[in-house]
Amino acid sequence: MSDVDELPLDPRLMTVRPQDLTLLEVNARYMRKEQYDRLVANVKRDGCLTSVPLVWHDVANDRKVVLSGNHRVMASIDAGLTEITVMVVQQQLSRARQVALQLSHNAIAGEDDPATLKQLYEELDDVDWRAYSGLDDKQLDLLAQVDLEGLAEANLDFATIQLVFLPHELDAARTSFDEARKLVQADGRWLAGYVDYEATLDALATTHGAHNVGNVATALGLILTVFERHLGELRDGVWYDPETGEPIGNAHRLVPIETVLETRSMPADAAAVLTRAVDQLVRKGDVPADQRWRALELLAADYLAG
Amino acid sequence: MSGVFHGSIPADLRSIIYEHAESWPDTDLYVGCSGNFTIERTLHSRPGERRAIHGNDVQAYSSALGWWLAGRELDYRLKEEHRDELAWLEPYLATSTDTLATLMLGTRFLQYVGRQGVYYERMVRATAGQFPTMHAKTVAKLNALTLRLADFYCGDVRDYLRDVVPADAPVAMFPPFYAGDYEAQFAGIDEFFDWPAPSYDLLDEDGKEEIIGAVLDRPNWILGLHIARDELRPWLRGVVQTSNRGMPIYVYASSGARRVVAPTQQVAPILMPKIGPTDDLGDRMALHVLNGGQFAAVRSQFMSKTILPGSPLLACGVSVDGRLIGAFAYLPPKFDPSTAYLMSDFPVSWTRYRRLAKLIVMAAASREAQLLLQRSLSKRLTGWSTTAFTDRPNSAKYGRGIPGVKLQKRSEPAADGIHRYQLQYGGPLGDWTLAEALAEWKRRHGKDMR
Repeated sequence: MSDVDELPLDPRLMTVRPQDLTLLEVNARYMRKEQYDRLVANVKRDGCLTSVPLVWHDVANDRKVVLSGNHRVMASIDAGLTEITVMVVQQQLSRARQVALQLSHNAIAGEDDPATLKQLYEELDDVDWRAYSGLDDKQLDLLAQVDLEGLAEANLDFATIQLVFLPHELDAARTSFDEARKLVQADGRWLAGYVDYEATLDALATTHGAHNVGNVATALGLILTVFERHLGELRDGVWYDPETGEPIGNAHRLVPIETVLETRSMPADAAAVLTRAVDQLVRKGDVPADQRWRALELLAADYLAG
Repeated sequence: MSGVFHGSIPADLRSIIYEHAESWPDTDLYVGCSGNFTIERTLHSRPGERRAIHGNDVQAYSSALGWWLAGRELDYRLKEEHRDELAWLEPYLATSTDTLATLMLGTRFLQYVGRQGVYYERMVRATAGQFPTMHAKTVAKLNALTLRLADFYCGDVRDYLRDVVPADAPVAMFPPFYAGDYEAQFAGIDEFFDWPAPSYDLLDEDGKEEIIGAVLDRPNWILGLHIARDELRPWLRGVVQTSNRGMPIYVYASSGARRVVAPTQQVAPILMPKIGPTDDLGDRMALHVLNGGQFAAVRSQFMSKTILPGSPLLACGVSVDGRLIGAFAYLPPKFDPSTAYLMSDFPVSWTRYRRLAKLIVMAAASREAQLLLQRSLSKRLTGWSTTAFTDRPNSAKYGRGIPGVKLQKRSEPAADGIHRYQLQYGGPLGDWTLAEALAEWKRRHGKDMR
């Protein structure tokens, strides 16, 4: 502490225009809007400040700096007061003593005994005085507990699916996925490479635009419908060479039947004929029971053989 | 979309009604404008409540519920012209309970019926597919209800108060004086069903006065209004406002406790140092997703108190070299589906950089912000827009020096009732990275210091 900081304070009350005061530049204290609005309303109702801000007269810079009571000063301006009473310290103050004063005003505050608080609040038999107090019946837990019967119709049953796009680095991917799991409530999560993110958004945007739908799930559904129509395109050049008619790569790899037939479904009458044929081939032992698809191979080979 | 009525009588109001009912005499209780029967359910929930409760309404949905609760048959039938379209509903209209459950479910899906578009068709298809289960669940809920009404009056509340409610009986009402939405919610039932609808006049100002007069003229009553009435001041028993943007509801009553419920924003600290008045801006800018409490706190600290706080879709803190320099928040697109709405943006106020606010806007328009926004909506977003309220014809913050930003609309006077101008600004989203934004801002604005 410097010598000047050892001296006791010499405050005196003064009347000033609130607009002439310099507010604290850096202030840890803030008020929520609803609290501030209440303060302004109270100041308006009172026509004055009912507690006194602490101001330091910075003679060197000819400023009157508010050390404590910034919100009260702002509220007095917003409430239209043309003058307020403040407590002014005239003497020299080090920066440390200014900050210490400021913080102490914020931090050294009393505690409320909740029972007594409620008791005093309940004396206020007028809605406006209760509002003026800055407390309310809900905070003080004074509202009746109501447990009423629910009256609501059932909702559509639906599943929430979250697509999670991850960068390719393994560690980062693991961390991100764990984070995503914590953040997102979903019935299912699909993992995809981050490189596919932009393409997915573009596909969704095109679908939104084409069908004029805003709903993401609906757009995704439309994308899947388009996909279904193009199943055959997943074949060429991937596992099948249309030039040679031969499979590409390992001949025993498993390929989706949809990419051959370009459909996941067929009319029931055609399916019945095929089922009878397959059943018969299995019964006769021409096709193993666990490889019923061999029936198609057999029939097709016969066909190709003429 | 669940509980379409729940907003009209929030939980805190139910508590007040519940409490007031205690002082009323041991006679039948009368409720006007029953809506979703929240008041009736509140009164019924009082342990040992034995007083008979009477309800009233004019809407298709409420009347069905009212008649059913009063043990009366429901005469709701599909309209001839919709019979084919909704033939699949017929099995669910066999009994009164079946019909009521169908009408309740109808408040959700009838709005989609007959509309062109893959979304609407999908919703109707899904509803039809799940209807057996949904209907059975709703019927089970209805069967589990213990609330019953002594009677239900389907008709104008003024006639009800005049002809039905005894002069000395307690009356509780929260009339829907802003009736537009209220009617629109149940338009589907009127569109698709024939039902014995009452005739009534829409409420004009005289009608409202008549209702208030008819309620006041009784020994025991409670009335909720969205407007403060000076002449009712002696009977003001409560003011309930649950959020800063919500309308206060004024509770007037013949007697009972005084109650006040004020909005309270939940706040949480952001444990990151803020840029100081003498600090230089570093070179690494980053975004930090904030939770609701953290955003409410930093907004309370730095944003103008004239702006009503709302709930954002996405809120971010902006830091440079690990020091918070400001924050921004977005709402989902309002008009153009690819344009996100920048709900608020503000810098840490005590910095010596005069134009730090522009850097926050640039951060909010960055590719990183775009990614976070797109992620939260799973949609492509290419632009942002915002509204500025000011007394000048151009905004100091958005006006100049941010690439691509344009003034889209200038209205005078501003709708906030405080400022002269209302300015609509907008710009591209994702045209630069945070690093590019910081470099560009430093080049254009970084030397302008206090």
